[in-house]
Amino acid sequence: MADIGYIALLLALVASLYSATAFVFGKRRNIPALVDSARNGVVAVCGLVSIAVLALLYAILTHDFQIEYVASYTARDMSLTYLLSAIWAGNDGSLLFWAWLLALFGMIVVLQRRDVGRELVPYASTIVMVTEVFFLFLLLSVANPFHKLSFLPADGRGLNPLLENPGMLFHPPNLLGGYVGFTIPFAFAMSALLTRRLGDEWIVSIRRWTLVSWLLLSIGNIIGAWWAYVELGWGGYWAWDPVENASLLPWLTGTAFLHSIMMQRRRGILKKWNMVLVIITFSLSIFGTFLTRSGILSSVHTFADTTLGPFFLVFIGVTLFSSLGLLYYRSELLNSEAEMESLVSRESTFLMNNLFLVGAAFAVFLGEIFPLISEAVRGVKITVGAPFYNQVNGPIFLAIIFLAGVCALIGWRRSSVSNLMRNFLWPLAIALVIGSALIILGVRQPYAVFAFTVCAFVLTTILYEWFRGTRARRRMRGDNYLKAFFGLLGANRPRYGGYTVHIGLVLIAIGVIGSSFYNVEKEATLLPGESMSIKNYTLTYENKDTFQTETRQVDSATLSVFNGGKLLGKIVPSKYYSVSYEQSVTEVAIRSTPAEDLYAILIGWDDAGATSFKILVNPLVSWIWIGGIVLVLGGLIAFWPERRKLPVEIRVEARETVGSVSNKKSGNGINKVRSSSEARRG
Amino acid sequence: MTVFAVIVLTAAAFAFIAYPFFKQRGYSAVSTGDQKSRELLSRRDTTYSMLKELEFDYQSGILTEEDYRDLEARYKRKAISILKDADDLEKGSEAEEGIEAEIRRLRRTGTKQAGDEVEQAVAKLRRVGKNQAGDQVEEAVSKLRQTRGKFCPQCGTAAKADDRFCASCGAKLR
Repeated sequence: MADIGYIALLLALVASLYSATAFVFGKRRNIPALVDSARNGVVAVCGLVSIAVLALLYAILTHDFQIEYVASYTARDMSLTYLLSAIWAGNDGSLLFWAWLLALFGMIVVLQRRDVGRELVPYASTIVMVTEVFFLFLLLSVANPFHKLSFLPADGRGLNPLLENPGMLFHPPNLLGGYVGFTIPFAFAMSALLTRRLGDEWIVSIRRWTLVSWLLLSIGNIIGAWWAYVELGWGGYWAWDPVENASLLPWLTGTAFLHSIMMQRRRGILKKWNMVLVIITFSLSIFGTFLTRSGILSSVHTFADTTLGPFFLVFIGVTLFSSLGLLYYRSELLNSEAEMESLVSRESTFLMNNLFLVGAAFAVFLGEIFPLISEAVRGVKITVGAPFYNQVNGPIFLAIIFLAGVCALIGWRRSSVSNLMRNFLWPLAIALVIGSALIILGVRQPYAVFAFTVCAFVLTTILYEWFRGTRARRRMRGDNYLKAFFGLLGANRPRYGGYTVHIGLVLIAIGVIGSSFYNVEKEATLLPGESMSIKNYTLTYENKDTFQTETRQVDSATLSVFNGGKLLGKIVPSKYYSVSYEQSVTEVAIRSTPAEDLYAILIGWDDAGATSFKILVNPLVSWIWIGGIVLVLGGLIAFWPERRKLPVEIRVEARETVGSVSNKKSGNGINKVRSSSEARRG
Repeated sequence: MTVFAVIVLTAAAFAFIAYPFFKQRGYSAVSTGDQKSRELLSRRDTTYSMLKELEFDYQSGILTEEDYRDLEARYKRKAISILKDADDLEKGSEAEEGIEAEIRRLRRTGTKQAGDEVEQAVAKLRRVGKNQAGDQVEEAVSKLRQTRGKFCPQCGTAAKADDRFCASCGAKLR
């Protein structure tokens, strides 16, 4: 089977090379059969890489330990789900998974029925196939997942015990999906530059691709944060670890890109900027992979000793050089069709949001590569810690969130200041009331009060906008409030999906602010029967239990949790020693409520029975996970496809619109717009 | 076993990729004649959704009436120019197709009244020199249009041949 997998990859390499060239020749010489054949080539590549993936899966499931990858990442005692996840547990396998996703996305691109942007597909597919060639080349040379050992081990090493968490099933594939997904917008952008079709087409073609990549990246990061929180046992969810940063970088620039393509579509501005953003986002996706596999940084995420660094560096270099060069050549074709008209407009909030997002990305990038620079310049590796990132990014993120509130209540193009005042009066008043209430309730840190007030402001602006939208819809169509509300969401899914994402972000922000300003931690060494107190909790150490499973030696300690004399329950932090990995792993115990999490870590014990604990109280952490769910829901609302219109309907609609628009030259506008849009629905 | 599987795999991949060279023309990834009209329609959709959103922003109070009127007028101008372009394009190709279809239909059925007329026009076209063909086509087209029905000059809605006013916008028809 392994040989078949390897040969399938080899064939896929040949097919993708063929497709990449055939698309170009077929398009230039206008030979439709050649283009069709290249298109089939893309499908064939997907089929062949799928066969390779299946071959590896087969090897994993049948415990073929002759194959080095299977022996390194799986063992006989692993459950089926973790065996499946072994596909992306190691370096070679995750590269294969990457190549497979890319082939899959490439196939979707060529098979997708599309109204706009068909002319862009051949060159875009060439770009996808060239990227595929790069990954297949790595898989066939330095990162071969089918490499065989010269001997047959009796059992494999198994999965690193830290990776044994449901997060393992979702975090890596989502992140990889996000990284790979950004290849498609990049490919379409390059195709638009190459074919000089720089109008709306490419933007229209890639909106949903960008959205889905962004969504996968978001899900991956949120699950990653949750996983770190429940598994790694240091009480936090984000450590500004170099690899976390690497996945945050394309997320930040991708978010900026998602917003600025709206501006290009509506106003025909920011064309060059969008090109730069998509190039940067794609490069950063590859850069993240480079960091984890080059061995230049160490983190929980890195793969031990691989030799892939130089390859990725060359690939990023070539990508940046050629794409930016191409952009420079075509820059005359990318002039704006309009100008910004006013500082007080939704456009300018979008522009600022772009600047802040890219600024934040730049700060993170700087912190990321600073150790490398300092090592090169002064010979000392100076690591940049969490305080740097928190201090720089905290205010930037707050500003971004503030803008999310402003944009909801400000019109396109320009808004008069008096109108602005009127719109912001209520949200501002409510936010100030909430802010004062917080002070009265005992929140005294100025920065926290300010940040919470901003969050309250944003939340109320969005809810206020929804309320007014619902009210307007109710007035216009006579529906009840509930129907009007859902009608509102359905009528402009991208817009209200976006607002839902903003709400999710605000909830996450509230959680982050609460848990970073008001977390309390305490360490204590207790004998059985002794108690400790933290905040309003009292914890009593009941007993310690030691037991043995097939692969682990587990020590667990039971603590009873009291709040003001009332027993709330028991929590059981534990520690186990993984026999096959010769590694000791902490399993934290968390008692979670909407207001705060009680987080217990078992540190150690001595022979006399004295046991050390680290207990944390993290306020509002659950808000982060709830916010994450809301964010994903919002993303799905925005992503959900509109019903495809039949050509006849489009034609009829065009006629009607011509009719209604020319009518309005003479008449009063609103009623007629309404009647015509109603007529269309009816 | 492995060798056999590899041979099958190679052959299958090769056959699949080479297949388009041997098949009759079907759907193709390249040829898209109506690309321009698709693009216009997409631009129209964008402008149209902007108009919808503007109206909505006004209704829910985000825009003042003054701002709304101003912006709406601009987007309408844009929409009208796009729609006119799109409609011209579409009407052009539709009319051509319509004529072809009409000729074919008339030839098949051999209806006396219109048939002779068309045959005459076609025969005339065949007779005359190539440089004159344009005018002749125009003539034939306008003749056929008269019998087929007409369009409102104001809003472009199709009207029946004996209508005197447009059913959609009420403009007078010639």
